[in-house]
Amino acid sequence: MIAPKKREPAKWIFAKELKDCMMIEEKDPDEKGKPYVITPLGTRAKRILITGTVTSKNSEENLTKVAVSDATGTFYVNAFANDFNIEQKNDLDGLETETLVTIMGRINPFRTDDGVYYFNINPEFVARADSTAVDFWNLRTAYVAKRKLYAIREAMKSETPDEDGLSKLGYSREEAEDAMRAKQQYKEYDFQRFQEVAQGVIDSLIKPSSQSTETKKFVLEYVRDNDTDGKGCRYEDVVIAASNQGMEQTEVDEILNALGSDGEIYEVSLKRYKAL
Amino acid sequence: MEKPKTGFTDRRVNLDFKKIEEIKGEEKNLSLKIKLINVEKRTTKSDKGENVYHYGLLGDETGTMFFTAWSFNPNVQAGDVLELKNCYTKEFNGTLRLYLDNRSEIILLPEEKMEVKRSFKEAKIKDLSTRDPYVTVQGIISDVRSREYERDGETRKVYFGDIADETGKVRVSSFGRSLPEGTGVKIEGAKVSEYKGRIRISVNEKTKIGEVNVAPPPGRRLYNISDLGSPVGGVSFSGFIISLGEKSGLRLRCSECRKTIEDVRCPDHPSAPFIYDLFAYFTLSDGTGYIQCTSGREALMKLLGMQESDLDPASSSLTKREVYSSIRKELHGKPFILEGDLAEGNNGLSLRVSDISRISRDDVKSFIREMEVEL
Repeated sequence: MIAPKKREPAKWIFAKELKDCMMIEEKDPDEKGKPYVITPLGTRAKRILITGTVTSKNSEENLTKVAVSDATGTFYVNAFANDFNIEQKNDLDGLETETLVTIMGRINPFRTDDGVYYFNINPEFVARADSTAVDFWNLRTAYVAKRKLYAIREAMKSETPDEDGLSKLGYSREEAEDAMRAKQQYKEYDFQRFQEVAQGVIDSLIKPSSQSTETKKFVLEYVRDNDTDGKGCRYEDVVIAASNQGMEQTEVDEILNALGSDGEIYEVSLKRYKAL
Repeated sequence: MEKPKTGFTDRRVNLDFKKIEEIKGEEKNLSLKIKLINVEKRTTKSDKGENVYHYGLLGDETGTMFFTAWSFNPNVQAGDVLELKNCYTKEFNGTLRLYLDNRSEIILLPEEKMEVKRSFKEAKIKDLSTRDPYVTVQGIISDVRSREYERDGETRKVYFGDIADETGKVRVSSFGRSLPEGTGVKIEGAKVSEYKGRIRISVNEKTKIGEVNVAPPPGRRLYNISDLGSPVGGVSFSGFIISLGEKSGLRLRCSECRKTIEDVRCPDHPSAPFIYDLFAYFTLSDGTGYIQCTSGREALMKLLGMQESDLDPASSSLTKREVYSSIRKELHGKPFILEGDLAEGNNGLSLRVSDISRISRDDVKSFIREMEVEL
């Protein structure tokens, strides 16, 4: 009997996890398709499932490019007008900015001569979403990320960590393997910052009411009015302006995440925000 | 008086046989006299070819222990008393386990009898596995039915039902003894087996069944897909439906034999009219993994807002394309909570869905509370 071919699982990761990625797994010369991407949390991914807000669209005859922002950053989705992608290209063409979407697709990595990686996603399906679907995805993606971060912390604490030891602590086999990869390949990564980002996403879902309308309005207007060089408002500037209004940095993070989840702003590049 | 030296050693006198209760940790070069309670054979396939190993439960007068034998005598069977030499113990999944390899000796003692002191691991239903074939479980019995059968010229009765705890639900069958409907029970020495890809337990004359207070099972037992490894029932998963099988949708069945018919007539009952049925197969992804799911008429009717009359060919004319499109529109790329029973098949675990519900704002709130507790 021929063994059934296993489906490549779709990983649920935030835009930040993909953007911070600096590692591609080497492929066997005989292996077809794109290589696996190894993210800072150790996730080994070829295919991802994302949700977010369409923040820009560039539609041409042969190629449609769409930027989809989640609460932590932006995914870049490209669909070509070829036999394999025409349905997905048509679906992307039908989207407007500010539409909420769910997209599953394959990661297409690109490495510059300077060794910097960029990633776009070739969609396999594009579906319109509602805010409940986006919140659900945010919550579970934060949950998956936090469990991985806890496993990484355990791996970092131990001098001789291994998958079996982490499994005994209650982590799944995949979480244990991911933690080992993260420890080996992203030793210097700022896991604490990622933890704060993931927690910020959860907090924005738990206590959106704790952020007063005024403070949210202040941050949103500040982001809108202070995109001075067209590259987006700088995170540091928002924090300083907000602290002048008596806000803590953690509160600013929560508000930025909440505004991202609401589709009001998006992270155009690292720590640069644009209002929609 | 000192024994004369013969040059031969009576190995049975000199061997230091250990009792199971004396084994406290990982040990090497163990010799035991045991009774084989249960043995199963498993074949694994890898690039290097097929590998066969045996595993099961053995015991002596002091207790029981699970074993794995990389090398085994295939003529030995459950109930045999054996001498085992050069074995070792190692922890596996948090439990001490006895291992036999190609250095170990297995000697059959055909004349020997042994009473085994049985001790059964207390197991939650979600953890039931044929690797632990005898267990103690607690839960509430429901949906009890019975059936008579003939054996040795006598009419006997077997009772079937479900047993559910806070982690899952499985089928239980009892030969001769009735099962108390709606009652909390503790079953000591239940035998775990797999039938048609699903875990079930059975009780026999040696199994103890006692009534106990058991908290009623929760409305929903929500798991990560990566959490479950056994085909148990009554479980739920939440996630996005990422693919829908092309042959999902409307099925025509023979009204006589209920078999699926490809054309409008059943080859066995050409004069019988056909009836409509619904079926879908799809994949759910939850961020920790994915699972293949199948769903039948009831869950899909609820999802599509259909009535029984909509599936009556006399009053309704449906096309396969229409029904497939409706199911795709409702399911594909959207988040759901699926409830059902797991089954083991050639492709691993799959979920036979009994209920499909779209994730609501209240579900998200309840997930947040559950996550706060866990993390």
